[in-house]
Amino acid sequence: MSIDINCIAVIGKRNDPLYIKNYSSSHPDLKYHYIAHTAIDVIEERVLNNQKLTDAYLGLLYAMEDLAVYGFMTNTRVKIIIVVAVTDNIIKDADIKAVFIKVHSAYVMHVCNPFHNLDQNFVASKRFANAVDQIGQQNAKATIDV
Amino acid sequence: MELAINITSSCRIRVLLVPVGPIKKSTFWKHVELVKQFAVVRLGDVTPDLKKDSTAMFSSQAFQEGQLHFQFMTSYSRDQCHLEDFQPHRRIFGVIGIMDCQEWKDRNLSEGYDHFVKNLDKVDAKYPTAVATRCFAFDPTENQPDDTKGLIMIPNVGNMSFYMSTMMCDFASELLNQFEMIAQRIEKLQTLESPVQSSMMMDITDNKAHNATSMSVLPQPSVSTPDLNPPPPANLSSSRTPSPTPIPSSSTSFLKRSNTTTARSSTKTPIATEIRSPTMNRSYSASNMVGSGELSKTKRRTPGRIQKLLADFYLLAGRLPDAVSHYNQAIDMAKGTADFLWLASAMEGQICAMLLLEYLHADVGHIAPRGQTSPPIGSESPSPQTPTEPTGAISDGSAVASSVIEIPLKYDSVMQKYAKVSSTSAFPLPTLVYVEACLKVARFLLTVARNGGWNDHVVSLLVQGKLSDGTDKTEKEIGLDRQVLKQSGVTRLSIAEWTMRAAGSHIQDIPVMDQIIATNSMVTILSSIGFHRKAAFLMRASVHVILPLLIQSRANLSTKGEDGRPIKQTGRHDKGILAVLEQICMAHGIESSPEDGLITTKTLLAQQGQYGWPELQIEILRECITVSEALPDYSSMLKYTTILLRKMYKHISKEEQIRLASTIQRIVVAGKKAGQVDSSVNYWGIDLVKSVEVVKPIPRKAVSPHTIKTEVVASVSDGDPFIYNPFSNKKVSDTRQVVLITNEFTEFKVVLTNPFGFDLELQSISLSTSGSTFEPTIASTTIPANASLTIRLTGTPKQSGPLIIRGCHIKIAGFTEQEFLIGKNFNSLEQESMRSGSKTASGTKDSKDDEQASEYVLNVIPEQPLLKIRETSLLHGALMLFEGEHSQIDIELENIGNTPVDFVSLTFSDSTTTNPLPINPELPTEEVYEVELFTKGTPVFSWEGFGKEVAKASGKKINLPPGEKWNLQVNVFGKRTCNSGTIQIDYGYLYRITSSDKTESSEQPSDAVFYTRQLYLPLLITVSQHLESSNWDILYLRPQATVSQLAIKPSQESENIKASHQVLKHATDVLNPAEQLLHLVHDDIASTEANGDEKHDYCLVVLDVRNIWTTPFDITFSIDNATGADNEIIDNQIIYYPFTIPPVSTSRITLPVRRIRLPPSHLIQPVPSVDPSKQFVVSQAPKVAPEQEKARLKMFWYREELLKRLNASWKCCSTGRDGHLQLRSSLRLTPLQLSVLQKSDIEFLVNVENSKRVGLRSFQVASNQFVDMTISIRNRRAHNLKAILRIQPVQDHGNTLKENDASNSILWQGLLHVILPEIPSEEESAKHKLPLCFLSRGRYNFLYHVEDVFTREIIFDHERTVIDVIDTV
Repeated sequence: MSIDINCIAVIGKRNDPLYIKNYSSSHPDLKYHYIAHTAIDVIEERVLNNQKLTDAYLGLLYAMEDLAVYGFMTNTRVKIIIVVAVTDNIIKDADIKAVFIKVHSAYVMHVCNPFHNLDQNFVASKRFANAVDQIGQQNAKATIDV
Repeated sequence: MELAINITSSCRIRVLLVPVGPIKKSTFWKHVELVKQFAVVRLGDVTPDLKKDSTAMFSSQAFQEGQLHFQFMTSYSRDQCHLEDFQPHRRIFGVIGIMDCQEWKDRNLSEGYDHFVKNLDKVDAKYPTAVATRCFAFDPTENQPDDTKGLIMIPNVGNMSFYMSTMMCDFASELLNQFEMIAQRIEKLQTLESPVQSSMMMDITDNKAHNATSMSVLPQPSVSTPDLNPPPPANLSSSRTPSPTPIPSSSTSFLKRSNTTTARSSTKTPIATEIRSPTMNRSYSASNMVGSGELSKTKRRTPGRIQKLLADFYLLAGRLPDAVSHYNQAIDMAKGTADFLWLASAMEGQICAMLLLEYLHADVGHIAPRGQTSPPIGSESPSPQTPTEPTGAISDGSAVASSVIEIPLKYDSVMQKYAKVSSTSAFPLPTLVYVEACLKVARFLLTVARNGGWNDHVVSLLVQGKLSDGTDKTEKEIGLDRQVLKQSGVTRLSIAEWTMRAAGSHIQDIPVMDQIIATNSMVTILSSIGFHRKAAFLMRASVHVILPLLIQSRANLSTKGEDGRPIKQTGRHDKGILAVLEQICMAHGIESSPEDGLITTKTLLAQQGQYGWPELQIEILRECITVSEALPDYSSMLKYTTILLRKMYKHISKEEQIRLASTIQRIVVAGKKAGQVDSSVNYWGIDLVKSVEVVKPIPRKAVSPHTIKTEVVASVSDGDPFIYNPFSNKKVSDTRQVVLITNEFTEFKVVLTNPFGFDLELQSISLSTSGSTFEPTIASTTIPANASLTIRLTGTPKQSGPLIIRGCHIKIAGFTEQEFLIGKNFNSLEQESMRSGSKTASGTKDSKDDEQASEYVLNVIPEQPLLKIRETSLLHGALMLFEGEHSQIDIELENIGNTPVDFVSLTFSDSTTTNPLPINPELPTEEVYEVELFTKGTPVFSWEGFGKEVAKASGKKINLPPGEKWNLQVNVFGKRTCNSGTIQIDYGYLYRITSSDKTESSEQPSDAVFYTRQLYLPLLITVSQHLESSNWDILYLRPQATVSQLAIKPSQESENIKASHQVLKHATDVLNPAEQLLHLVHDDIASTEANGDEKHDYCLVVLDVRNIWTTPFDITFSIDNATGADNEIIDNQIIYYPFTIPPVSTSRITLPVRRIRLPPSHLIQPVPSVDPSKQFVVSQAPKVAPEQEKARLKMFWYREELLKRLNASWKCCSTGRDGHLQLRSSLRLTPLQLSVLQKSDIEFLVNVENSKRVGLRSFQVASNQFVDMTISIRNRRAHNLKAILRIQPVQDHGNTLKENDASNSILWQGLLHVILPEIPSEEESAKHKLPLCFLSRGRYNFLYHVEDVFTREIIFDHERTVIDVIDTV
């Protein structure tokens, strides 16, 4: 895979951040907070216009400068946002989708924990963080190798 | 103010409106508005230049339907000067001065005009591109002569609009003339450069500085517009020299104002400078260090560029067909030379022209293009047609709807062209052009979307540059109607996409003011399509851009005091920025202020509600603080600081919290100084007060309410079927409320929390109440960081009635006092919402609790008396008692209150009653009776006030005025296992004397509730066992033979000598019981003949009494031998039996007790219960046979009877204590003993005639003599008796030798076995006479019994009849 993931964000159903992590060194964390936040606009637009949305994968939400923002929404309206640096490589939807599914399954695993409080604002699970970090860093590393 | 960047903005002629001072700001703006009404001038109305009618490029009448669109501006900046050559619409073509004649009443108006002209002269560089000038003087007075040349007086009477429009047409005409000149010059140009962006980038900072200074220096009353959101486009267009050129004065552009002096005069005849421009231009291009190849390329491209510029001017001049044709040419040519920048720009212009054509078509219906010099196409058709475009789209008038799709498509290609610029040209693409192009499309789409698809209305709106009619709603409020959106066929996404194309880091390349404008227009577009988050993001970006400007202007302000701009003036646009901040906050879910109720109606924001993105919120709040600091606006600074502190304290570090807290104080101080911040600011939104609770008063002061009805009645009337209901009882104890008492100090427990990371110092804190008057005392404390604190606040209620505790008035150090209410905390809201995910039943309960908490109402009652126990007779509150001892406690009470006491009631409790032994339900009822009698039947305490009779709880009316004392005595009884007890004294002032009425006072206690106070006297009780009785036995006392008498006598006497001696000392008249017994026996014997054997029917009760104490005790037994019926001898019947038991010794006590007989009806009564209010419980004791049950009842009742008759009291001579000896516990009757104690039902009476009676059943008769033995049987049973009497004579030889067959020595007549006649019940008897004759001497025993014929029960006489037969003498 040749996706340079800059950021993975998980956003709750009330549009509050559950988890957000920056894997790039070029931008400050806050920028990704903003990107994720503004992405909600687009996601809402997509969902509203497409009532019978069957696929959780929402595709490219928008591109901003050298970053592309991809979205994914679970059945429970938990949104996953991945920010990818636009490189010369062509980014395949399937690749992005695979990453999303990985993140989603990590989240599902986390939610399955009986001690998890669904209403908790921020995911503070080490395990979840590790899982997501692995996804993020793996891809980042892969880019370096390529 | 309309948005600057519009798709049709390239057709507008920019005209600057300049005030000619002195003029009032409001007047100026009024006139500006007036002038703005004439923004559109029809070409047909413009006076044609008569001189060169046919040849005039612009001013001819060729295209009458065309319109000139003016864009009036009040300010300008020079940032875009480098683009003016490229896109002429950016340039300012005209300057109109506005004068107010009222200000010039006493002066010559010409002075003002001269000033204006001079100003134009002097600041030549200021408006270098203006080709036409005017000066309008408004509101002239009558006497002001209209003689100044060049000054146009606008009268305020008559048809002003006509006049104005004429003037404007004149102005337009001049402009058109000037256009022509410019166009001519352009045509002559040999090279035409592309605008240079790179140079801009080089000195961008310098530019910024210039900008700022130019802004501040401007003499205009308003530099920027009142509302920041759509900032005036005017600011931007000015022609400043492109900075790279070393000669700033050289205005290189061909657009340079044609001449300096003459053109300004109304005689517009440009002359001299025509030649200048090309040369200058050449020099300019030369000065640009461009390669020669580039130069040649430029030369090649120039014709196409010239065509494009001409087209631009045609567009400006409103000659659309010409414009279109020129554009087409330009496009063709630019394509040929790969001049993409100009190509794209030409396409933009073309699109604009087409739109306008479409608009005019709608407006006019017929366009007659004339005088077109070159256009090959389009001349034949009046409808907008551009078929040969590279975009390939043909817009037909009929297929107008396609424009919506077409225009973005065209722009797409424009964008592509722009994208190619950097690769094909040495000069990069001017970012501004790109950004504006994007925004133009976005706005175009938005307009379409908002108005529901493509129609004429939309076109006219587009031309006017408006989003909507704007009359009904303000722009902000218009949400995008989904229905309309769908109709229009434009997706929000596409609008957003176009907008976001404009956004990006490249936006930083364009000048600051343009950045602001661009971002703001993006914000407008995004927010109107509902992309609030993105809009907020961009808003924030624009604030970021504005911020340095603000700070700089502040800095300038402080350095240049003489600048003369008062602070107030800046306050106007401050508000704009603050409004922007508010919007940003709202979009990020930061509620601006809790009490404002500014919750937006937008569903999106409402959804966000309390949630949000803490990181973003913090960041934004910090920015808000920075901005408001820069302004400086203290109130909003305070607001944002407090919001940051209040809502985000969880996410901020401790240090920052402390910093913020100190900042708040600083702001308040500074704000007060500036007069912006009101001294009573409420900013501590966090509820510090968690709960307020009354501290229960000490028991001595607590009052308890009582209802007048007795509790039993109340409980029954409740409809409760149970006398004792554990649940109802519990409820009563729980709901026992604390009642406050007037004029008495009350304590409240207040829980305070400090969620912050720093200590909160509360300078003063006091309770806040409503309802009846309350006097709180003020305290002060410090709540440590991140902790809660419980303090006690005090106060005194001053009035009776309900008192509502609202919360606390708290003054935090350095801040004003504020009321903190209970239960209205935001945290709870948060928690509530946290919980809302899993709503359970507990949720509702919680909310109920909250309600209760928020309404904490207490009842204040009138003053109550207060008593004190002054002294008691106890030592250390402890009491030592012997078991069964009677003692007395003296208690002295004192009224220490201010109110008299008129009611006292005593209640007692002791350890045996408060913790009673649990009763095993399987115990037989007799045992239960014993246990109950012990726990309940024998109270430890009793009140002297009601005599000997046990009065457990009852009231007494007394009168105890304040300060007086009162004594009372309480009896104490030494009860085994009792170790502690409490005397509770309830007292109150029930019969209050109300001043108004006496009847009322008497009625008062009949109120539902009265209050009493309690005094408690706890006692430690030690009950020592000192005497114990044991080894009970009951013996049959045979009043038989003298032998037995003699046998008893010595033994008894010896035993009782000691006792009798002692007793006789102080009670000489009391006989020794033994002696008495003898007397009785003697009496009995004496009276044998007279009356049956009633009197001598005694038994002997024997028991051991052991003294285990260390002192001797005198014990007196009293035996009540009265036989109920015989009242006359009652005195004799009570026998006192005193004796002394030395320490640690046992005495055997013998008591003659008359045998008892209880009537059968008495014996079948069930075992009673001591507790009258005991609930009936079906006995769980094992079931027994009826006979057995009967026997047990019999046993019980006889035992009770015996205990009733026997009483023992003790006295200790040394200590003077006396008491009651407990016999009950040790007495256990066996059936045998019972049979002795009990008189039998069937009684035998034996009498022998002609005999000497020796004893009760012993007779002496002579031998060989006939005697009659009569046996009478008395039936005491409840029913008749039919029985067989059997008699068996036995000869007793002594030495236990007995001859059963006595027939040899006795003769008898009749049968020994006889059936007696039926004996009726109730004391009736039957007699059987048996004639006897003893044949020999000796002792004969007669044994006899009766047998019930029905039950086969055999009843013996407990004594046989002995007959001694002696020889007849």
